[in-house]
Parts: sequence; structure tokens; C-alpha cells
Amino acid sequence: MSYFKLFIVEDDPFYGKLLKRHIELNPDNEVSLYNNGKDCLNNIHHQPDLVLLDYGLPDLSGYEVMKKVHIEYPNLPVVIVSGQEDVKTALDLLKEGAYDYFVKDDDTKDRVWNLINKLREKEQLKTEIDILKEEVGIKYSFKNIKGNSVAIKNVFKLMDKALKTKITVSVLGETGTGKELVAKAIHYNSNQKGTPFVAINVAAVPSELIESEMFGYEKGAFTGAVTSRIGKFEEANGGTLFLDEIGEMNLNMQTKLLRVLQEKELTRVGGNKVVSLDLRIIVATNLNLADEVRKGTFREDLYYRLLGLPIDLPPLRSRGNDIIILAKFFIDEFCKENDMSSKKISHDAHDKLMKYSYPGNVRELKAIVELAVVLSDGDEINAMDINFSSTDTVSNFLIDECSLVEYNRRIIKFFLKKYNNNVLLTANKLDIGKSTIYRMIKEKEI
Amino acid sequence: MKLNKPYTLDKLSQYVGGDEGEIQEMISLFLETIPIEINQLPILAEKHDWQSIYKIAHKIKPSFDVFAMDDILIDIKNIELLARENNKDGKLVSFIPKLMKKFGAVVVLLQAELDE
Repeated sequence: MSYFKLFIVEDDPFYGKLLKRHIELNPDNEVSLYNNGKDCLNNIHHQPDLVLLDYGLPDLSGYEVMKKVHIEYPNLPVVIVSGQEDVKTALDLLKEGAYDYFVKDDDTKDRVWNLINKLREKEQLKTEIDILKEEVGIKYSFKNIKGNSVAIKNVFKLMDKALKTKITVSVLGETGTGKELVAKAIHYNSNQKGTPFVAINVAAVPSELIESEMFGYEKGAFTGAVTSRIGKFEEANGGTLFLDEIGEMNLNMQTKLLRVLQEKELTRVGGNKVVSLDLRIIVATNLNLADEVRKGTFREDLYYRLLGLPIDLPPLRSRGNDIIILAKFFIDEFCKENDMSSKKISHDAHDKLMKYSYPGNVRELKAIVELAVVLSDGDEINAMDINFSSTDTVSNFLIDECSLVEYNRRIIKFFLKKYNNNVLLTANKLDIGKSTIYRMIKEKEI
Repeated sequence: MKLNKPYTLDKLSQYVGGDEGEIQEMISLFLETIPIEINQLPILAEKHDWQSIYKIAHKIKPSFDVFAMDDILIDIKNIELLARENNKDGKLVSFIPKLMKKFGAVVVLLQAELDE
């Protein structure tokens, strides 16, 4: 554990040294003792973790020293330790930025001890949060968005342009194409990476709750509002707010959202206080918003305000070899997470993966290859381990990429089986001549 | 037979984690620094410099608390309070010789602790 650096500023040498000795009972605490305010200020560049400041010093008052310390280090905790049991003085100092106020008595040493432990824990938590933020940044770096196709390279180019400003970004694409991943990558690779990224799925929040969820509410604003609560906008203030499935927002809420975006400020539900906003908005939808505007279900003015920089995510089926790149990535990731040795993709499995249409896009591919890893024996994934569970039967039917003649043959065979080899009924259903079916039977095509 | 001393070393011991050497060192420091302050009091009283008396009393008060010198502490608190009000009822001066007498006795006892 690192040293906890502490300054004691105390003009009584006996009491100061006594406190220093006590704090240094923990060898991880490093205490510097100063008898006056000026010496403390001359050494403040050493950046202690805490300053214990006697209120009545011979040269400067504790208040003056605290003010000067906070000009250079506004977040440095300064605790006033005084023999003065004056509540007003204590309150004034706390109002002016003192971290705490201790009266010199029998409990002082315990209070100081507890405070140091609390600040140490806080520092440790802050370090852990910084590490986690760093890890999240790495997780959402551009290189973790896999693919070499022209389509995805175009997406990277647009994402790169989005990093340089706080321009609103609209991420468009089918379900499962990775819209949230793109939004996070933009946030964590931009200058706002140390700030909050807050996501809200508009479609997942009931319409009667969406306003309070987004803008927050004051205590008593409605039945059940027993405490005040900030909304997603305030939570994301200074950072990025990601509004997923924006196309699902009702018109009433669209009007309120437009006002907030225009004014760059909001008022919590049931409140009067205006909260200023400075944040980037990223929206995502799998709907064609222009169509929704035409249909009258999406406000045109909001559409133009949210469009910003549009990033169109290509469906997986148009990304060619990215399917295999992504499949290999998901296989390796899944094997690593489950302490398994990695598996290769056989030729037939490769072909099968490439032929499928992936209506669920990358999300579906991930599920398919994870299941394949589980089902496969040995160190290779074969075609039989790959199961498509898409509900899109046409896509499944077309997966074999046969000739039209072969598809005709399969269709007729299917219908004959369905109607107990009744040629006339089958011909009627398919709107073809019965002689075509008889010819195919004769030539043993079916 | 154990003498009934006007102080205890219990709190001091707690502060330094029971280290005998540290206790001795802190007593030495007390004897080096506090008498200088106490000896200032009659001089300042003669000059009617009540605010300086207030500052000294306020400053040394916690050190006496560490030794649980309760009797002396009462005198110091009285001096502090009366000096803060600029000795408006003239009672302050009478506390100073009382304090000095009690403190003189304590110094002798503390010195003996060091010599033991």
C-alpha cells in the first residue's frame, strides 16, 4: 500500500508532535509537522492527502490557510482541528470548504484515525475506478470492432470523424449490428472518455415512466416519488447519453426531448430548478426514421436535430469475410472465458457460415458459434455443429445456394409430399401445368 | 505506596501506542515547551494584554487535557474565558498565581518521572 501523506499544522509543539506520533503508529502514514501557516503553504506543493489544520495559528488563521490551499488544490481535504467549541465557526468553515471540523478532546485521535482510514479507502476505490475505466476504454477501442470489409472500414472512418467534436451521432442499422458498441467506442475513444456514458433503451421503458427516467424527478412529484432522483440526462451530463431505439419514442415525449435538446437545459418532473446540460447525444434505431417522419410517427424537427452525423451499420450478410473474422474472434473469446483450448473452423463449417443470411446479425453469429463450440468434439468445428435457429424460413431455405432448377425440383417435391402425391392439387397450388410435374416424375427428377 | 498524582499518563500512553521511550520523550517535550508559555502569563497580565493571554491559554489547553490534569485545566479554561472577554470583571489575575503554583508542582512530579 502507498504512503498516506498528511500535514499537521499546529502551533503547540507538544500537541502537534503527539498527534504526529499517534498517526505514525501506522507505518504507512507519513506526517509532516508545521508550526505555522506559512511553512505549510510553502510545502503544499508536496501534495499531501490530508491537511489537519489548527484554527488559531500565530501568523495566519486556519481559514486563510485553508483558502490558500484550496486555490492550488481545490480537492485536497482540509480538516480544522481546534480547541474552540464554537458551532458557528465550525459551520462557517464547513461552508467555506473544510472537509470536517474536529474539536481537540479525548476523541480527536480516534476521529483522525477513522478519517485517514476513510480517505485511504476512498483513494483505493478511486484507483480501482480509474483502472476499470481504463479497462472499459480498452474494451471499446476501435480495434475491438472486428472486420476488414469495405463496409466496416467506412464505418470506422465516420466514427473517427465523430471523435473530434461533440456532434450528435445517429447510428442506424438492423438489430444486432452493434449499434451500442459503436456508440461506446465513440465515447471511450473521444476526449470525453473519462466522463460518464449513460445508455437508455427508449423502447424498454414504459411510456408513463420515460419522462421521469430521462429528466429525473423531485420528491413528491407523483405517488411513489419518496425521494428526488436525477434522470439519465443529468447522469450523463458532461459525457455521453446514448438513446437506443429512439424511433420507438412517443410523440409527446419527442416534443419534450426536442425542447431539452434545443434549450440545453431541463427541469426535473415536479421541480422548478433549471439544470444546464453539456453532453453529447448518440441515438440509435433499426427503423428508417425518414419513413417514420413521412408516416407522422416521428417529428421532423427532432429528426433533423438528431440526425447529426449518421453512421449506417451494414448488415452482417453484406460484410463478406468479416463473418469468419468475427466467428473466430467469438470462438476464441468463448474458449478463453470457459478455460477451453481454442477451436478451428473446418472448411465445410466455413462455407456454411458464409452462406447464411444472419437476420440477427453479429448477435446471432455470436450465439451460433458459441453453441457450435459447445456441440463440437475435438479441436475443430464442423458444419454439423453449426445450427441456424433463425425464424426466417426463406433465408434457411436459400442457404444452400442451389440453381433455380434445383429449387424448382425441391419445391415441387415438397408440395407433392404435402398433398399425398396429388399432382393436380400440387399443380394448382404452384400455378404450373400438371404436365410439368408428370415430366419431372418421368425423368426421375423428383 | 503509590502517590496520588494530579495527572495520569494513560491518555499519553494511548497516543504513542504504549511505547515507554516515546512517553518519556513527550514528557520532556512538555517540560521544554509548556513552562515557556505559562511563564508568559504574569508578564502579559501586567501589560493587560488579555488577547495574548487568551491565545496562550487556548493553545496549551489540549496539552493539559492529554495528561488529564483536570484541576489545572479548570484554571486554564477560566483564564481563557476571562481573557477572551478582556478581563472585564477583573477576576482573571487571581487565577494566574494559582495556576503557576499548581503547574510548578506538576513540573516537579513530571521531572521525577523522567529521572526514575
